[in-house]
Amino acid sequence: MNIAGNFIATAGRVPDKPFLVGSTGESYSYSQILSRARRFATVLAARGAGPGDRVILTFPNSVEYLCAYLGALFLDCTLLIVDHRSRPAHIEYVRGNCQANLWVAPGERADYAHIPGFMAFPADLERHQEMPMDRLCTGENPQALIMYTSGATGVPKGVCLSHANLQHTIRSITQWAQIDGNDRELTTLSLSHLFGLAHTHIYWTLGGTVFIEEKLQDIPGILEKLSRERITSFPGTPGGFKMILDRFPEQFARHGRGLKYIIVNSAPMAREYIERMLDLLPDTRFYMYYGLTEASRSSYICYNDHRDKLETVGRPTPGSETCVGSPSSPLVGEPGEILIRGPHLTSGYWGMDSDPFFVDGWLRTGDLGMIDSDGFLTWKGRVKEQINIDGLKLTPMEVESVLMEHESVMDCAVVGGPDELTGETVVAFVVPRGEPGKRLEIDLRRFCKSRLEIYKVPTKIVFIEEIPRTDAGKTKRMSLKERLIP
Amino acid sequence: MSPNDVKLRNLLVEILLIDDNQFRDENGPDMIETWDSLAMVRIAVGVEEAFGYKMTPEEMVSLDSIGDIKEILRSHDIGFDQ
Repeated sequence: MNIAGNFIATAGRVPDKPFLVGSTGESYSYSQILSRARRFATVLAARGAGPGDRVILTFPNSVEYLCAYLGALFLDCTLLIVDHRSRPAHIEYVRGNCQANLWVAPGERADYAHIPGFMAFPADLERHQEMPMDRLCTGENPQALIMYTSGATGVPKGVCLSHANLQHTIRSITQWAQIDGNDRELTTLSLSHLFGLAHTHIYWTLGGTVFIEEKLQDIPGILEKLSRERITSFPGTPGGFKMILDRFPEQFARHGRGLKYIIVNSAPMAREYIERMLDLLPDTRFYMYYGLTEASRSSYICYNDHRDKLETVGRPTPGSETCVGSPSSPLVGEPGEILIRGPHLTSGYWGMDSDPFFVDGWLRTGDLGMIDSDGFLTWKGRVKEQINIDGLKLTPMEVESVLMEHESVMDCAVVGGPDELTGETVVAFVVPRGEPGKRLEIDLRRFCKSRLEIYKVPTKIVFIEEIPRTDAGKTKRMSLKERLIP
Repeated sequence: MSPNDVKLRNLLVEILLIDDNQFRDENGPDMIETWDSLAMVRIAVGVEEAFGYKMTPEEMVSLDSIGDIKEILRSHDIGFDQ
């Protein structure tokens, strides 16, 4: 069943209940959002969109975005959610790769004008008719989303997720986190990523209320909102909570005491911070889960119940299976690659041979892990080369290919270096043509900034005489990473 | 430009990757796309290292512009050009 069908059912059950509350307090009921999304579906259909068509959405967290999201799902389109801060080259790649028919953004943007199929979210939405209910969610397209992630070769891969995948995730999280229709979530997570999006799916399925913030910016104001709006759920990343725990612990303790649960995902969290969170909000259930876009929410743990397992990311979520090593002879107490199977698993990557990523129906995650004798999984790092900036992932090759375009770069290698705030940060080792120095470092970082998303821009450039490589020409990244250890 | 202005400009160029001509009092998170919450923390840490003054959390989140950073530092006897 189309996940937007869940929304229609809820809007029928609790039409006047608030579904969305914007950052400045404007509130929209389920019936109001249903009406807007139906109007947007009419606009989209007039542009020729229908079942199976690929539609790109690039929005910041906003009411408009969720109306566009629902409206396109109502038409059984397949959605490509791309971070609104993405550079035009990335959007062009996505559009070409999945042959997207349309691309919707909040408003006109001059730097996007050359990309065909663009349409701005209509400012006069109220003037359009609502799409008739019997034309919504006809079930003609099982594919809900294609989410682009960093590929191991530096080329983004489109992860295909069906409505069935997402429905399973909704049921799974609802069950283990004990979420219900009375819950009120405040999210600062980007709804361009599956972590935040999947929560929104749950809330519209259960009839809860979602308070959206564009980002974690005004932290005292956001914390104050937790108590003022009687928020029960406050999901976030380890980096975000680290910032709150370090800088605003008193405010968090005061305003967060009504929280029923906190869910953290996307990157490992230091044991010290987990303990501080548990001590600060002892009556709040504190969950961590592990997953990838390809297999969202594969394991989970409630740290309140397992204070002896704080280094782990828990056990498999309902319906999913996790093993380490190989399915035929899984490892216990020894590290190996994490493999995942279950109804939440992607069917593969758009337009490419996905077989190498699967073994007997199990996804090869590229993550290293270890399962203890109680079945708890500990994340140990990456088998594949990937950098994780507080949940935002990239591959070294994405940055290296940009740096190599610069006339002053003879050779380079990019690695993830340690960072107190974000876990990892992008560090580039560069063999310069000519004189190295601060000026060149800033020039190179600005050059990357003009071509890459902000989080991919190196925070540090280290000039060296030669990039260490194996005889086969493979970059010795571990040896470079070791140089960054203080 | 005074030595403290140069020091602050270099710090913000380093963290925010702004151009020299963006180092203007009125510029802040609305004008500088790299100025997000993480950058704010990095600015506070950088200011402490460069000027020896540790911003309070309230001061940190009240930063709406480059001029605000200077004002906070001025109130602790760290001078900048007017």
